[in-house]
Amino acid sequence: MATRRAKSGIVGFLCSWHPLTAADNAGADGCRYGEGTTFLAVDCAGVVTTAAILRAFAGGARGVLVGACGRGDCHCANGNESCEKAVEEARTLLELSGVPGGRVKLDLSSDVSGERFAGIVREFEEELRALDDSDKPRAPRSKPGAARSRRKAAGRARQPARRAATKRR
Amino acid sequence: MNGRPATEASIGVFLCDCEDVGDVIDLDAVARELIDTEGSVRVFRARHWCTPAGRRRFREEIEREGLTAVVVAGCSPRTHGNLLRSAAAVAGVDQNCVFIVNLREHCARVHAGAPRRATRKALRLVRVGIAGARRARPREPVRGDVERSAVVIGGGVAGMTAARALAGRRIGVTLIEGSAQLGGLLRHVNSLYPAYCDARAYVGELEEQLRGQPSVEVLTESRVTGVSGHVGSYRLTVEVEGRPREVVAGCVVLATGADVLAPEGLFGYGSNPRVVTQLEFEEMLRKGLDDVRRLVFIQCAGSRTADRPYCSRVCCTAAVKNTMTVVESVDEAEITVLSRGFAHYVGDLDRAREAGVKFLRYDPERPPVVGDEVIEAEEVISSTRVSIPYDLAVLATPLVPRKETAALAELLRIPVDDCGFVAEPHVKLRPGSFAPSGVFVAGSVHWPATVTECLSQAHSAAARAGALIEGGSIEREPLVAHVDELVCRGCERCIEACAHGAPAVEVGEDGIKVSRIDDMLCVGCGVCISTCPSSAIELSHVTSGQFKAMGMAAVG
Repeated sequence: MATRRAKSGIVGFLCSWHPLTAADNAGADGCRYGEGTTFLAVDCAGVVTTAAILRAFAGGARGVLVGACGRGDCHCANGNESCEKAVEEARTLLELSGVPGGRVKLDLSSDVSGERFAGIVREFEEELRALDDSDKPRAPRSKPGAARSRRKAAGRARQPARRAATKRR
Repeated sequence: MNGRPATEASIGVFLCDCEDVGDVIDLDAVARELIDTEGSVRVFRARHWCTPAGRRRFREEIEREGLTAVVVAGCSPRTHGNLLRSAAAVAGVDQNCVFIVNLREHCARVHAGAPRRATRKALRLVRVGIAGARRARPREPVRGDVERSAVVIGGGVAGMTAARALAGRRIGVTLIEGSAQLGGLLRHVNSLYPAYCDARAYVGELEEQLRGQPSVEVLTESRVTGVSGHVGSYRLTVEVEGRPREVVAGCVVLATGADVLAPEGLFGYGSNPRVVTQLEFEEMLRKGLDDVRRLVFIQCAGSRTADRPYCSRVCCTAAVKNTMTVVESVDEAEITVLSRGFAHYVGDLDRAREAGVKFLRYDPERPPVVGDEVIEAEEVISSTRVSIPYDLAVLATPLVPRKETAALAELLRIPVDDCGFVAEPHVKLRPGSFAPSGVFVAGSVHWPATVTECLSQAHSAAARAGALIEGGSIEREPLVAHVDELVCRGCERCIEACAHGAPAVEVGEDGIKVSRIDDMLCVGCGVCISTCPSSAIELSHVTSGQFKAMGMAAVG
């Protein structure tokens, strides 16, 4: 699965209460963020499981954004806390498999400002771009052979991500 | 596990050519691509699907094509979602099979500068909708019966008023009071503002009316020790004079009120016999003041501090009321009110000023010092120090949450705020609505409230409870989770995770433990899904397979 071509970029799971409102407001206010974003509305961030996050990566996502309501503001009592745990767990598992945990971003906020939301998305895009760059092997540092073998070892999974990043620039 | 998904042939995609969307996104390309790649999906175009004419065509197309699930790609579901869902319902498509794809706010508006890429994204968003629609199935309604009785916890003015109002609707009421007598704090209060009527007589009359109601049962010296069940059918374990008893009720009104802070050590309270609290002063007023001519009221004694940052709200009004009572009953009374700014909103403040009551403002950094003969204070505005000789100092101590409040709130699964009062999950959007439907709150257990506020809250709680009970049965949105009993291994993790007490483990005839989720308690938050190690739980309205497919479509 992991070798599938990464073409999408960011998958966002947004709770329908505050985060989705913020995303709607971002549109209403004409804010800007990248087109590689796809948001899924969920009734409560509680349904965002570790598996759902990991599946997005398995499908080729560059990053996963999870939007939950601010602490103490969950409409269903503790869905945001549960999703926070799921995000933590997903990060740990990603790190173990060599993917930086920073590719999952959690925004716990009850701020419905569209400007702020678009800022968060742009910030995440920046962070992912930096991660894409740091994934690139640094040739001058090591022997040519080593760089090649490292590149080989890095596998095809990261290449598309890199391509997507360069194309953007 | 996913039920029978709608067949692919019966999905319709309705693209909205609204100018906001069509100006950026090339909907022709989207439609072409959909027809090419999602062969069996029918694609419909219209300028607006939300207008009456658009909705009529929407319904006609659904009926003509025999669609079982639809995807509408246009603006945010917030704007016309309900309109389109109900139009679809008229045509026989359940609202759970209607997917609104937001091409305006989530695509066209945010990517106006890049139409080609926006078009690609639009296609992806529509495909997410199609992925959901392929596996959508109609909702199964969740219904429950409602017991024709209510429990009111707390026999103060709020509780008694709520009980009386419910009894007036011929609903059986069990009133649970912790102390031996009804009346609560008002039994210690002298008069009620703004009418200056006798507080004891008022609650006495209320009690009489209540006891005269055949449908009301009053349990004194009793406390709630356990709560189970859900809206429509709560089971409360009540300890009545030491003996446990079960009370069944359709809903619960919580009106246990608040306590008055005993300000030990504050302004010499406890050691100086001439320092009393406002409530003690009320009792003194009721018995008649002897040898008290020079009075000093000290406001905010123990409130608006780091420990108790809130304003107790009733004390300024009580101070004005009591100064007026003193002015009218004591000759040559000298009254000073030391406050940190006055929060009083009815006209008697001016009357008190005209009657010679002095209102001075003190700085909380330099509070008044109560000496043996005089009270030393610094007036903030003029920065002058004053020495006020006094016979009695009255401390306006705040209402504080009762000791039992936290435990009761936990039993009823309603949240408590930072100060210890019970709180609505969203006070601005849904004031008076507490997390479990079927629990209503009135009076100072919620926040320090004046008697007037207690009455309106009690009537509001009773009206809501009454409407619920008189409905006889309730139907709720079927946003609930279900356990696949063949997969569940009874590990009880869902029980630990659930904040609403919805799952419970049952042991079947074969001795195997399985979790079962109570439809009436579940809010569909999905927290249990995250914790279930066997993936035995899924939401009835968005199945795991459906969510997975939508996630995959989002990746593109």
